[in-house]
Amino acid sequence: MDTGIRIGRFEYFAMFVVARLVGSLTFVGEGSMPIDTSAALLGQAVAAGLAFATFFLIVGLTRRAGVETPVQLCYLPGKAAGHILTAVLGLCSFLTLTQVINSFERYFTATVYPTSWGAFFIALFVLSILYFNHMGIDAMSRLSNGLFILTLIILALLVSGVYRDVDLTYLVTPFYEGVEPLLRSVYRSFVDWADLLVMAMVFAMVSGDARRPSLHVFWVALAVAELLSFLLITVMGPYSRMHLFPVHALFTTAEIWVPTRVDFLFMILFMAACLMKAALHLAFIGYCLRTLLPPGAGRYARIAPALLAGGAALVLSHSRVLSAYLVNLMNSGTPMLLMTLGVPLTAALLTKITGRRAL
Amino acid sequence: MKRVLTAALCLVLLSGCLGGSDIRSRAMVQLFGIDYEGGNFHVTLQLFNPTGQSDEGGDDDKQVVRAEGATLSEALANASLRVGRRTFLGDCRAVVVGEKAAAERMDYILRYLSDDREVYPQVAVLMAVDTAAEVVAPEVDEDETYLANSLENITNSSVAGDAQFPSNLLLVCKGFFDEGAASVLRVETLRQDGEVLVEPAGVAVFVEDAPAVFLDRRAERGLLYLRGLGVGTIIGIDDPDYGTMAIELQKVNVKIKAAVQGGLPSFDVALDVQMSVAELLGHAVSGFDEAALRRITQRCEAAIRGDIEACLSALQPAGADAVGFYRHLRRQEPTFYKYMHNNWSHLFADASVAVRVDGSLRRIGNA
Repeated sequence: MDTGIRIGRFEYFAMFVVARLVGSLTFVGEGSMPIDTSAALLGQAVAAGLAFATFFLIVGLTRRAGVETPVQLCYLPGKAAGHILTAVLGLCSFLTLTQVINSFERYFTATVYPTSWGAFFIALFVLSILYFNHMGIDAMSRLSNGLFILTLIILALLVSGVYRDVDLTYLVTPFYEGVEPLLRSVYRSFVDWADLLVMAMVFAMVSGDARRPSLHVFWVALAVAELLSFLLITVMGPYSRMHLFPVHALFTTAEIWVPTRVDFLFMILFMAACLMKAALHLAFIGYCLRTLLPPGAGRYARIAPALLAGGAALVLSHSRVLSAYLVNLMNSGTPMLLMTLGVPLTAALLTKITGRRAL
Repeated sequence: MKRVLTAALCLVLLSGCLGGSDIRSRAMVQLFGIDYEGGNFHVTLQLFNPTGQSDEGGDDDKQVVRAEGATLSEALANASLRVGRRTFLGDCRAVVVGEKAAAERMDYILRYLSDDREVYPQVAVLMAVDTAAEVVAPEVDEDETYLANSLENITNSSVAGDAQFPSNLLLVCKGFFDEGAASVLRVETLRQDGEVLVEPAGVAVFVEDAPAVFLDRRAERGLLYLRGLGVGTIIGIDDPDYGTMAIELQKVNVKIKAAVQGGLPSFDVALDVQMSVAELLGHAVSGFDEAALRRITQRCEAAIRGDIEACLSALQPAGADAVGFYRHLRRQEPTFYKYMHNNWSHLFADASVAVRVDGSLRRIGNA
């Protein structure tokens, strides 16, 4: 992540909308009950609002401290604190990267090619994100333009294929089971916004005012998530409960004018979203490592974490117990909360307490 | 050169044909019959045989395979061994479940089909009146097996048309794994004068994982109307002035209002039906007089109401909510439903359902 590079506002917007799709495409109803998924419709909206507020809190703290990026903010209280806080950010981002690779491998070996070798998909994926990073964030952002348009086309095709099957009687009040499922849904959706800090990093690289495109990221990503959840509830009903990737199952039910199944569209969308999200996180981890390590070691700052995350995903693909640990850890929200609130607030607080500006 | 090599590598690695296999190495299942007997699943598969030499697409390009196993996976694996090719369900048009299999193992069968990545959610799921083997590939005599092409026709119209009862995997699962009742189209084999025919035979409605009610064709039409379907259905009318005529339904809109009265749910069903004259023999008229129009419309409304009442009188005593009244109650009276939903079958049996049909004859066809 070269913070000296400038990217366009639309590219910035498209990049994070596409990356955010991973969460929407792996959507599961809270408590796996269709009634609760109605709560998810409202929960997602509230969570997007909270994520929006959190994002501008991070950007506000960074700007107020007179620095450009959240990592620079970490170094304001001192070098030692900066190292620790940056390491925490890098570790949390590494966990997110591992989860994305794990998700990608699980989708392909569970749904598309059940008898195939997971290591092959992991290797291909790791090579792809390394290549993306080698090309640089400006190349990634240019590619995201095309991916965003592709996303819109695929979603339009999906809607045209399933709108006849929409049954509104599956929608119930979000408060049907009380407030608890709604709160659970808000929390679950909020901690799914794991890209907020990376977004705040890239915010500084946007040419011109990035506030408006940032706002658009939140509402467009929310609209996509709401659309997919709405279709899941009203088209699939309880059938969605029977699938590991219910949105993939939704795509298999779509019937458009092409006389074939269109679940490959899900595959394209999921692949694009995973690539974008993983590449962004890898770029961020690389930035953190280059900040932490001596200059000579910087050349391995991307290759090493990518290989490590790929290796971890490979181990996870062979161990259901470890895989469940990672899923539970990510669902608990600890890495996301540390990244987006814990570290920036600690850095700001330490700066205020010590009164030092080591940068 | 570097770019060319990269592009070539991408073509090889990312072609999407990973794990692909030649069409000739696959047994492409078109009809999938499932029976259950003595703790074993007996599958009957009608396969499309691409090596067939028939020019006219007759039975030469089709093949029947029978196999059994303790699970469906085992039965299909045994079928693969028997035919020498791996079975492929991605092109399957219909799954026919035998009566005994439906009564004892429907939950397992639906879960298996939903889990199988090859099976399309829109595949027709039908229930045989007797065994699935008798429907998928009935034996005509000792050496000959009839290949049920007519089943494909039922399947096609069931999936595409409104007049035929829709019965696909998605719809059946939605009914089966929710609090309502799943409804599955039944089919039977008829033998007349050496001919073998596969015909629709009403609808089976499941309560608590087993078929509880069998609707005849009339009650089946009632169920279609209550679901807002039935476009294309023909109603025959004998009019004193115009004689025999056929009225075709053009549009069916249904609105269900749920309420709670005296501790019991009640439903107001309002059907708005638009119709046209499809057939009026021997009368070249440019239009009907007002009295005739009202008379014809009222007769159609009465016929539709009669079908709906026949359906409800079959469903309610068994507590089989195949219409999905519970979803309307859940939306409109959530507090009541939340505390009573465990008892829904009994509540539905005692619920009052008032039906109002408003018909309008929009077009008089060729009359």
